[in-house]
Amino acid sequence: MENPKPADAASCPTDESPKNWEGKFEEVETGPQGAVPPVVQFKNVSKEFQRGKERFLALRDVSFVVENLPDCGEFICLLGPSGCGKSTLLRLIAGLEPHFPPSSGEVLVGGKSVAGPGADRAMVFQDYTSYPNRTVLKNVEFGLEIQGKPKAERREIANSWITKVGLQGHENKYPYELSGGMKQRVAIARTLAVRPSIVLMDEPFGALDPETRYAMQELLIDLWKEMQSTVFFVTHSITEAAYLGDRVYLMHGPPGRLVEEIKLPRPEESPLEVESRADFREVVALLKSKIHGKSETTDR
Amino acid sequence: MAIGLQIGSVAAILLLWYAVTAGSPEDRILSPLTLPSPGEVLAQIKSLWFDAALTRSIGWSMTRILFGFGLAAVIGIPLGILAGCLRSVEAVLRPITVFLRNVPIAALIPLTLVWFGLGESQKVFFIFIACVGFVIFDTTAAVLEVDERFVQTATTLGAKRHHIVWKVLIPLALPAIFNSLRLLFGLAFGYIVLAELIDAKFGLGYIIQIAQRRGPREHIYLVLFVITLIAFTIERFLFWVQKKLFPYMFAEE
Repeated sequence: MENPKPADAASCPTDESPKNWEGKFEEVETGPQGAVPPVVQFKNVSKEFQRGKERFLALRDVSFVVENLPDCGEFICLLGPSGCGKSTLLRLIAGLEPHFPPSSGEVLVGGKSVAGPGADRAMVFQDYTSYPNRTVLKNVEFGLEIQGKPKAERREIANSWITKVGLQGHENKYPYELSGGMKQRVAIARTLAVRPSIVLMDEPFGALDPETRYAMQELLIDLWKEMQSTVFFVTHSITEAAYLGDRVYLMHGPPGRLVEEIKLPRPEESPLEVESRADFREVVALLKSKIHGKSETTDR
Repeated sequence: MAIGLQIGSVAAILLLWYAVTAGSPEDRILSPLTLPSPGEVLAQIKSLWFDAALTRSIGWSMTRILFGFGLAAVIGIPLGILAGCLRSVEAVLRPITVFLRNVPIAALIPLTLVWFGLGESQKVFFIFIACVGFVIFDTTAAVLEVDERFVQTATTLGAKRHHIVWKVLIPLALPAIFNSLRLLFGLAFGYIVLAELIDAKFGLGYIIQIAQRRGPREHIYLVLFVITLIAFTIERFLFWVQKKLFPYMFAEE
């Protein structure tokens, strides 16, 4: 698959970011609100769960703003150890129960308070969610079917996405005939086919072997450059976050809280190649130290 | 290996049967009144076929099952799906299904006779009452067993309530619903004989009842074999249909 040249999106943060890795992580201040409402805004969001008589604070006072950049979206990685509330944060954006609604604070998407799930915030889950009764083609068509698109049109759109994720020739297979990586390709194609302005990904590659994981990371970046959606990507893998993210939201917990936003340059190499670069390894080391420095929880 | 043991099992039973019924009537271990010999049973096939009108009896029994069970499916499946989707419907139906699944079904025969008289409707409604509680319960369970993640995925792709019901819950519950219908059909087959033993003019149960009263007793054994054969054949056929309809449910085999 061919990568579109970054030059055609001049205002994207990817291009503003420096061309090499040295000293390239600065802490980002959330800027003042412009005329265009931010893509996503959290205002002092907390989420508490009641488990029997016990109370569990999943998120504590989380605030951040993702500004609306013209014609492009940011790739934001939510990084932190298990139990730090990354998934809770993601599902609050998605509007999915039981994490939604927040116990206090406000979740705004496009300036409006989130009322529930919607196709503008489509989600890829870690668990395989391909519908077992549908072929690859029918799975990818699912969201388009719901939108009421005519058959010919949705077939065309679905087929183009199937090609983009590299599943051509597998259109008529059922999920049970697919490997884990292929199922996640189906999920990605199905999600992107509805053209969401925000793509939510909850450790989508967590269950894949390293080889497949690298391939999927590269594929995802290619697709994202074309889509220009804002991506929220939950992971507990530091290298994954360092490779994928324009920005990394570092989280600690429990109780889950957002401790730092780190801006990162976007590497041109493949995930495998970039790991041998010294400056990339420095970024990874720094992220690691930040995680271990401020949290009792160890990251693997 | 398994098939060999199965054949061996059948052979052993036949051999035992033959052994306890061999010789002249006076010398046998079991008297012919208790258990006729295999040869005597086979000799009665002709009279079962012609005098007792076997094929017509099968037809009568099957028709009653199909109407009764069909009615249970037509009413039970939509109710079960509704109960799977709406807690309030589930709560309303629960006492009814609990009753129908736990009541001794045979005890309902006198009541159905009171309500529906001696005709065909009594048989059909008996089968219906015997099965509908199970159909509703199993269908509800099938809908409730659809994994939450499929529903959540649909909602993040823009699905509204009716999309979730028609495009997620029903299609994903269908294999389990069909599977339970297949198993319940065997139940219906057992119940029809019960109903026909009490009161019937035709049917497999009727043949058994007449043979017990007037003979030949051999017909009882033949009908038992015929019922088992039909039930097994239908079950295998439905299983085959199930595999054709839902190939993705049988991936591991």
